[in-house]
Amino acid sequence: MTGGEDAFRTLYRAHTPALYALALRLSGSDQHEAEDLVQETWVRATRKMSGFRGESALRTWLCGVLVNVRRERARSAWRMVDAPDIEPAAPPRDDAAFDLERAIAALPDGARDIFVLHDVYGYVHREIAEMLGVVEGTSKSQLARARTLLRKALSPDEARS
Amino acid sequence: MSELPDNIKRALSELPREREPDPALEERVVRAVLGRRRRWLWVGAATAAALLLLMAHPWSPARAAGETYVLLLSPGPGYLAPPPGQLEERRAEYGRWADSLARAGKLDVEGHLEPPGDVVDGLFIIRAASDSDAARIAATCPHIKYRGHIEVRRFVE
Repeated sequence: MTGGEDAFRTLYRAHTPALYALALRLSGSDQHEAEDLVQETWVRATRKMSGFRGESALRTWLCGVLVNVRRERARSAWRMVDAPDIEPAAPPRDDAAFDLERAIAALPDGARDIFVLHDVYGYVHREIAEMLGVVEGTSKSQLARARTLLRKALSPDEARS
Repeated sequence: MSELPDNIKRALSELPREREPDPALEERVVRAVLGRRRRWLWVGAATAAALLLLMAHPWSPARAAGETYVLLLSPGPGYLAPPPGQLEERRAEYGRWADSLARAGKLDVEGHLEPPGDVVDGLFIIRAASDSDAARIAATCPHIKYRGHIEVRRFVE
């Protein structure tokens, strides 16, 4: 094993579990898609390491790379050709059986990214805006939208009212 | 700001923040990251050799009339990168485009730069009748279809 490979494996093992959890959540628990996202994130990150300026934690920067990789892939036509169609997760049937992960997966892409980063991973709007290349106002409005949708999905009574 | 009920907040706080992927992913990623570098080194060496040949020998007789232009390819902010595992296919597509130029006597060099960077990733040296002809040729490159950026520069010997 070369020194460079050794160093990379150390980095990989330190950060991949967090990246993989994020990738699973953003891809609607699609394991193959999540693995592809993690791989592409590392390829992109090692190529763009000069873009990491130490202003944010390395993990925050890597998460930003991953979110942007996922967004590019979602926009790309190839994905529709190459990947099997993933059925969007159905909203839970009642309060008792609610499945939070599935409800998150069913959120619209843009709102889900911001919701997951803010409410699950605890990033603040400033960090999210930097990661996604949007203004903080967009991050705030998308979070509000996601919370409203999630509340309705998990509370059938509210959805009907 | 829209707030969530306490039961959902509590459930969110209990979601796992880390998940161990399939152990096989590590080897796949290491191959993708380190293998790619080795491939780029090879391509870089091939490009350097081609450039040396270009400088050492006069233009071939089949070369089209006109001026020499350098097409500098860069990803640009909207570049649609190939999905994992399809890099070779993407390169082959660029290669087929280059072949069509070569058959018309309009291509002198194709290749990538080493190390790959944010600014310029690859280059083609072509023959074109004029600036606008060079721009027209550049516009047919698959790189444009993938929303990449091509800078067209006249090369003066």
